[in-house]
Amino acid sequence: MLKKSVYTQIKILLNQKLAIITFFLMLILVLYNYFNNIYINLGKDVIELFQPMLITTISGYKNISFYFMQYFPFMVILPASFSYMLDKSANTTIFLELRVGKKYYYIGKVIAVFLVTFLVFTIPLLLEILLNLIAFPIQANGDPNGFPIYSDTFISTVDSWFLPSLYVISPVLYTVTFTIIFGLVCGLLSVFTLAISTLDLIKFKIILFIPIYLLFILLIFIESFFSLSISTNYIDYIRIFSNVNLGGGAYISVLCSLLLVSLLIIAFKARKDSL
Amino acid sequence: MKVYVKLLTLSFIFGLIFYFSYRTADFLSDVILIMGFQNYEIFIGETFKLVQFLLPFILFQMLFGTYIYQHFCTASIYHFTRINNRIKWFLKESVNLLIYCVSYVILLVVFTTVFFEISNTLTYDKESFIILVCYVLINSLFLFFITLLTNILSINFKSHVGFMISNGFVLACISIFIYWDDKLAFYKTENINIEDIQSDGKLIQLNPISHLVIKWHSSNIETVNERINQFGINFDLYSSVVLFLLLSILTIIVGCLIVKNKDFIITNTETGD
Repeated sequence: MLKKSVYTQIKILLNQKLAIITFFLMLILVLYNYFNNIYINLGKDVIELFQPMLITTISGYKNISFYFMQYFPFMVILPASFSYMLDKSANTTIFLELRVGKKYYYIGKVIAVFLVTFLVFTIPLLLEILLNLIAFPIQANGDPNGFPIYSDTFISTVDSWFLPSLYVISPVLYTVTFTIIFGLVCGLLSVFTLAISTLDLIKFKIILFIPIYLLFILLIFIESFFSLSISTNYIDYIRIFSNVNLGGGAYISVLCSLLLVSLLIIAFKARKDSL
Repeated sequence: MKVYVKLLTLSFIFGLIFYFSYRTADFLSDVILIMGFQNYEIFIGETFKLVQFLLPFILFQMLFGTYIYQHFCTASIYHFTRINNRIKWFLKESVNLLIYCVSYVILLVVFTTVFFEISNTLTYDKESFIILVCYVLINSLFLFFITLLTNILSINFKSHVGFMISNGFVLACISIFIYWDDKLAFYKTENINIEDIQSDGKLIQLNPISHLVIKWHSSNIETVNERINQFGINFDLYSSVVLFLLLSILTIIVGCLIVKNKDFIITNTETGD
């Protein structure tokens, strides 16, 4: 029954324009960055080329990631977070609940929203990694900031990233891993917004833009209020290769809290609807 | 009444946030400049200061982005059969929205000033009041413009699309600053050319978000000009008031046309509630 619920809801989500539009927006962004990288590096010798994994769209080295990160709190909820409200307006909720049961409707909804958001953001970025591997020689090791790779500055920069030892083993593996983590975070944020949308006080879809945006900006304010030594700016955590002091434990705690709150809200809603 | 409680709560919270972000000020104008993106410089890493300090406005835009549109969602046919002149109704609602925008900006200033006054002794002089009036006018009109734009776009495309378009416009304007990173003559340390500075001064005025940064403006009053005009350019405070006034009038005209021609046979239900 759960399989059926997830499958139907994914089908409904993919039929809605927002998921497809967001996917193509991501694809355009990624292809623009890819062709821009090719244009910049055209005719250069291999020793002058940057490491191809350092120049992907969500890399901290690329200006395009700044543009993307500005829109990110709003873009992340576009593919699937409105699905509960859209189901309600089209009366699909009643139909699906009758077909698969209330419990499986909500579990299926969470899984479908998570998967669709994950795929919409991850597929274009993985495609870019593949294109970079085809277009640029893997031996290229240049640092976009111009530091030699065995210099103390570059080594200390690598040390400031999450899991630096993984980058030392393989930059490709590192980038693929963190692209997948990026997709998982997108899925989690989308599920959190979905949970908020099930609350009865939400009457308009526009209100669903508030939770993630507010959370991100308030976290930025916390850094300046308490003069923290670690960054609380979401862009440093969501982009790969951010050269700042990161708080890994705090990041995981925030994500776990979001997941817990989301699941609690949805469990409460499913229980309330069953009575 | 409910609306004013919402405005009071929001402005209280953001007043506190503004206070905790800086904490020290000598003049009332210092407080206003803090609220008017004082510490923002056109560098790529600073972009998020703009997004951060736009939070009170974007939140207002989200909360009031359905103020007029909500009448088109629930019982719209019933509602509009009782209104003889839709344009008159729209203008009345727009004036109400403008009053809320002005009240919100004034409340923000009041709460922030009160919080700064608790730990500092502020000086209230003539220059501060001139900057205050310009700040309230510029920001109220900007807020009114984007909120009304969200409302009229929502009438045609539903609220989430309306918000994405209007907010997308604001974020696109901020993105221009990312593009200008390291390109403007103001931040050059060598080969400084006055003509380049003046032409870049004209260039930044093309970006509507530049008009929100009070510190970049100039004034005909010398004592006011000394407190602002960071780049020494000709960027009059009143020109920003006129710009947002014109944009607001244009949005009202477009809104009148949209509301007048809205076809209720195709009813727009946001959530089914």
